[in-house]
Amino acid sequence: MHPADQNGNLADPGFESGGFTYWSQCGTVNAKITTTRPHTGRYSEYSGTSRAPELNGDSGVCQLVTIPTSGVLSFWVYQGTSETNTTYAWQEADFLDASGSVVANFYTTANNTRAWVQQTFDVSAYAGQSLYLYFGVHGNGYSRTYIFQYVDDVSLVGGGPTPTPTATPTVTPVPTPTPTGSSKPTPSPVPTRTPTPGPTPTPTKVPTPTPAPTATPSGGPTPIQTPQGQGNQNCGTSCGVERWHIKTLDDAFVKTINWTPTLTTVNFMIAQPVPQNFSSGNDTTRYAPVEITSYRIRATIVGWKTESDHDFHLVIADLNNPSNTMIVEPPDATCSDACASNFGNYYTSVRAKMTNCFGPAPSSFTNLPAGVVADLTGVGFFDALHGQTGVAPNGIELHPLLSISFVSGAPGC
Amino acid sequence: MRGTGAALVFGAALVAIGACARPYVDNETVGQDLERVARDVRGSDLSAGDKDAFAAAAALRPATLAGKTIRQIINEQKTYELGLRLAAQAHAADAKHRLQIARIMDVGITSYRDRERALELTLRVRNKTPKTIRRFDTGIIVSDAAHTRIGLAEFAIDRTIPPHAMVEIVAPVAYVRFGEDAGRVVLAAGKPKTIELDVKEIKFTDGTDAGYDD
Repeated sequence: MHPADQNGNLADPGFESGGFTYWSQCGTVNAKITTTRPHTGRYSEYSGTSRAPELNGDSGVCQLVTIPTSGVLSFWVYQGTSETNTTYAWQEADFLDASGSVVANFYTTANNTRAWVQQTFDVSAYAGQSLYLYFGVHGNGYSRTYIFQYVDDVSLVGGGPTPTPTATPTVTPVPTPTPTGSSKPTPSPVPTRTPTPGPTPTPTKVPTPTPAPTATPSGGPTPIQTPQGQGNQNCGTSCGVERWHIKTLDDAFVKTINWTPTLTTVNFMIAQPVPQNFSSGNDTTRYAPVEITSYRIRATIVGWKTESDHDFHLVIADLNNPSNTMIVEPPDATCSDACASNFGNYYTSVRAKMTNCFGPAPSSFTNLPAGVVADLTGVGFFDALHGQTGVAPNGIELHPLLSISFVSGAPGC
Repeated sequence: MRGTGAALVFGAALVAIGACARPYVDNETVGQDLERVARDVRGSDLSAGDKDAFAAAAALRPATLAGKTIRQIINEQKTYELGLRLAAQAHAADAKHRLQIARIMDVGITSYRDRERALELTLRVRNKTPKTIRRFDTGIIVSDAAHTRIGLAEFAIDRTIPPHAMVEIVAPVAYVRFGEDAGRVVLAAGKPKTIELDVKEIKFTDGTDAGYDD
């Protein structure tokens, strides 16, 4: 009999059973309980390979746990890899549901620390739930790289009585994390988990946003239909960085936005003052009132291009003052955060309209034919000035652009 | 009645423009008597820039002007010319950028392979400087045999390239890097394609860099 964690929430926390009595194989490639490199005691868990070739698939272990009230998860990891990023391979720790889907991702890394490092997470948000705690690595079998992870001394402690589990998942068969690869290319993009740069984030609740003042209904434009809830938080590929959550409507304050568009002009937008405390590094809060307001602008589309973060960059000009321009941008719905925001359909629709009418977005700024006038709807946004083509003097944009409706100059569109 | 090609019907609204001293009313519609209107604009007290814009629009796309006010036509042309200027500036900047990069490195794709989850490129790179390169960011445009663009992606290559050295680099570009175009790139696996490569930024081990900075 091997002792469980001190609160009885997790069995064989140090893998000292030497085998898979309490932990289960949960990957497509077997993990090991090994004496090679323990943190304490004799054993630790090991996934992956310490030299090329890289494993091909997922290798990891899991155990069904019930998260206690005020739960804190803590464990030690020793990680190594020759990968430079998490595009093809990664180390990870998650809560999984019975089907192997990720409920919470603690980290996705390509770390080569080669030292025991303790990780601690507040898991109180999952109190009462029975989930599978998973540690593992993923690789794609590349002949020239490797990735591995040792895990030891896992602890799941709580501050009070554990609530009665709300659901008991099926215990058999043992869940296997959904493989992200297959033997043949699939027509749709292979999903990748959002990489976690640097320090490991703690899964915490989204902060309650400050309610915005109720805008006077304009009685005109139809409010934008907002999606319910959020999309898969572990979707998409990393595209942008600067104020990326705000740009993709994946921030905590998206619910403060007034979705009844304010009818306005480019002239009005470019005259708005830049917020006094504006910082291009602010990716958590919105600068009211502009960034909690949706706008509809009728303007001429001057030209466009695609950007390195996959945004379409459109320059629009005021109908009456052509020298006054600003930028509007729809993100790529396959990018991380854009896909998690659940507004992806809007982005895809806008982009499809542009490409259907004018072909693939050019990689270098290209003008449109004369007279392409459209009604453009999006959320106000301040960007830093860094020489963008067509940028407004105050850096104001519609970002994201949520809809486009051609008025003239685009026959058939 | 003279016209520009299409059958002409005299518009109901008259453009109240005559000799240069007369007040100009520019909210009248052009109708289809374009040549007469253009003559009147030339004789009006509109600015030289406005007159040039109207004349250019009338010359470039006469068939699209009917039903628009003179002011609309002028603003539309000015916006179009702005677009041309911005595009020209962008292309000039691109050309200057490519020249800068070419002074620093030669890079070309010697071969590629369609792998399970990535388009794997083999690059030959020559560092033409006395500094050590530690990383470069690059973009690729993939087109099919008909030169129709399939997708584009950007990625970084972290590789130390000593001064004046030539290296061969195998760079897998995951299909997901192509974003919403990933599916098209995957479907093009095994089919003839062309791949253009454009180095965006180069970083040296001495902390300096060259190229775009965004």
